[in-house]
Amino acid sequence: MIKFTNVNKWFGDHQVLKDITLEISRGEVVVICGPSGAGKSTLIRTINKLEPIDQGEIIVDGFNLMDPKTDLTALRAEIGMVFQHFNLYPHRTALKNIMLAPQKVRGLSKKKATERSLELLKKVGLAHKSDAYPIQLSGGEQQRVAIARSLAMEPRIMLFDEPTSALDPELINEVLDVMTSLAREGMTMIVITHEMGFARSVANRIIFMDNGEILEIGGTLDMFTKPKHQRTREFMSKVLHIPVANNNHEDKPEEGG
Amino acid sequence: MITGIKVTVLIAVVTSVMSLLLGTLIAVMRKSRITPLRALGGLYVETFRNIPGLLWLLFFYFVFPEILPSGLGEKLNAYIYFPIVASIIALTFDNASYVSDIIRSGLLAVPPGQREAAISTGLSRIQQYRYVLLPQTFRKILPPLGTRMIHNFKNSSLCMAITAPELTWATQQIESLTFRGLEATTLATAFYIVVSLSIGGVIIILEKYLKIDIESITHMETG
Amino acid sequence: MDFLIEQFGNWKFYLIGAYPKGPLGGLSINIAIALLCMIISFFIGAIFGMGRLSCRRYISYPCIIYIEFVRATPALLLVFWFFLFIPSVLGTNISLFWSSVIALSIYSTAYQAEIVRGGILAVPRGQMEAALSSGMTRFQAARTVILPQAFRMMLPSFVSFFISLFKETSVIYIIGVIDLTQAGVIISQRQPDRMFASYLCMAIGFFVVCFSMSRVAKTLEKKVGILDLSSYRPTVCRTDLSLYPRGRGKSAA
Repeated sequence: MIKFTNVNKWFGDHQVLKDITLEISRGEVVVICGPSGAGKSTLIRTINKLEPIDQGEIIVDGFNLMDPKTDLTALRAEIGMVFQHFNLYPHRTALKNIMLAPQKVRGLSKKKATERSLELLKKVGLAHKSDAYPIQLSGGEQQRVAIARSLAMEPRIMLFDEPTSALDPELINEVLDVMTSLAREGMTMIVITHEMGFARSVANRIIFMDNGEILEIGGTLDMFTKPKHQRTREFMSKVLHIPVANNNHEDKPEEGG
Repeated sequence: MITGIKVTVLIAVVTSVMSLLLGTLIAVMRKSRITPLRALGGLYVETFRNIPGLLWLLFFYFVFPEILPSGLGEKLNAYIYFPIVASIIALTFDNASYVSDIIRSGLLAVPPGQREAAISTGLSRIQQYRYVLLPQTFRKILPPLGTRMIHNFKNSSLCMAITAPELTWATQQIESLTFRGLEATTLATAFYIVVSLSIGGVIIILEKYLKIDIESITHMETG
Repeated sequence: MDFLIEQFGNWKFYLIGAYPKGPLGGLSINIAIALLCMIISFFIGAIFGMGRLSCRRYISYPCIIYIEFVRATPALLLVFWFFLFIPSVLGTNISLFWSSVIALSIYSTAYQAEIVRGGILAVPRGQMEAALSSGMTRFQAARTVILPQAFRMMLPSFVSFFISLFKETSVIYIIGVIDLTQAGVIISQRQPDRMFASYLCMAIGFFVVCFSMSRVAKTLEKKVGILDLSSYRPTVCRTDLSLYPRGRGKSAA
């Protein structure tokens, strides 16, 4: 479904993606982890071409991203993306945030778009908040609305860029629950997260990145129990063995890449 | 005097609306990926901002008919409403350059994540501006935009230089015909003050009305 | 291009008018008036700006009324007031030049006052607290801590305002001062077939001054940051940020 072949990208002199080759198939849930600045964010942002790449080839759902003839807008409509800072439109209510793209991009009637959006709000457990503005919602609620907004386009792939790292610890689970149920429905998902509990329960594979390289890819169990790489081992022991209440990794600054 | 007020209001309202449209267009042009469009927008703003509005008025009134083919130019000069039309054109162009600068700074202040969110749900560039970026921008720039519109309203007084029969022109007519200019000028001054302060008041009320959104905009990126 | 070169033959008239044979005119009179007004209104504007921040209503209210009323009046009308009526009321004769200077000074004072107020409000409150807790008096704190910082922040705004004031000086053309606009109009009437060229010369004159000043403003903005004047609402008393003591107390202005 998504295929990276020898992808390279530089920011000035700094190489942020080094020779990435990766294939993700339909229905798979992949978790990407690694220290900040490793290029995780950049990697998933190349999938809907929020970040262009300098070398290599990315094929998403049969479309070649490097081909100038590819209709990017149409492709992006098929890829949902959820951001660390939610990025809800502050001047629109929750419902209207969700309705915008189906109405304008898919050309749904207002009635149909409303119906569908309410359905999705119900799915993320926020039917009662449909008329609230983003500022009136908690971080967890905002992120759930953001997920519903992406789902409204009926995407075939969902990308999550640290969806829970801007949230207070007690709000993380409500978001993870929505993501888990989504994974169980068979959605293709690529998730950057350090929530290893989530990874253990739903991920098919875990990718460990460092310094713009994919150091290790493996099945979930393998990565937890017998990571091959020294760096992976160190990182895993850090995120797994520090008591959960400490939540150290939540406080990491936003990835500078 | 009453006609003067009518003409002043006409000029101010028409130029405000048109310069808002033109200014938005120029601001979006200046953020375009296409270099010639960007350069054109930049050139427009620099040209109109660095030359006084009065000069543009004189230009559109005196010079513009001259550089047209002769028949057309004479027709324009004979047209009795030409001073008003020239005023509207000149002030619109002048004001649009300031408006576009205000809108541009507003656009720059919308967090980049907003645009990314719009892109990743598949909105086209026009839709991004129409539904996501510009609505937020206008809520943010309301105060400076209001100040600019007050300025534009006051600038309509310059149109007297090209004999557009607006309020200030009327006071000077009264002065030279009846020598009762003091009363007329006092009334005109009062009119300008009342209208300017009312526009300011309306802006403050509007701003309060939209406060929910404005607060949420400022809080978004810190969250 | 020939028509333009021909126009440059009149460069002296565009720049300095009929001087030294006649009175000074042209571009230099725009610059002279703008500079004079800038200097005069800086000092008066500072008083009004600080006055507006005062907690004493009999100080702040008159300042607010002055600032808001002048800002609501077109510069052209102010010029008319000083050109037509004040001389006849006072029974004195002021030259065109000085009546323009007075009118535009009154105009720019209101704007400069707002810049000064904005600058003072932009200094973080902690600065005053730090200065006071190190044992300074309010006056010392204002003079050595708050005002130097505020002034730095005001600099770009001053330059931008100078540009708009400079453009505003073109209104004196209407009362008959031979400024750059008037000079161009005179020349264009002398040679009606060269009208476009003479307007181009006027435009170049204004453009060169404004454009170069706007570069200066941009450089300054990068160095000291932008003062966002639009965010300041007319507040009667901002005790939390004020230069003056809370509640009652000595006035600094």
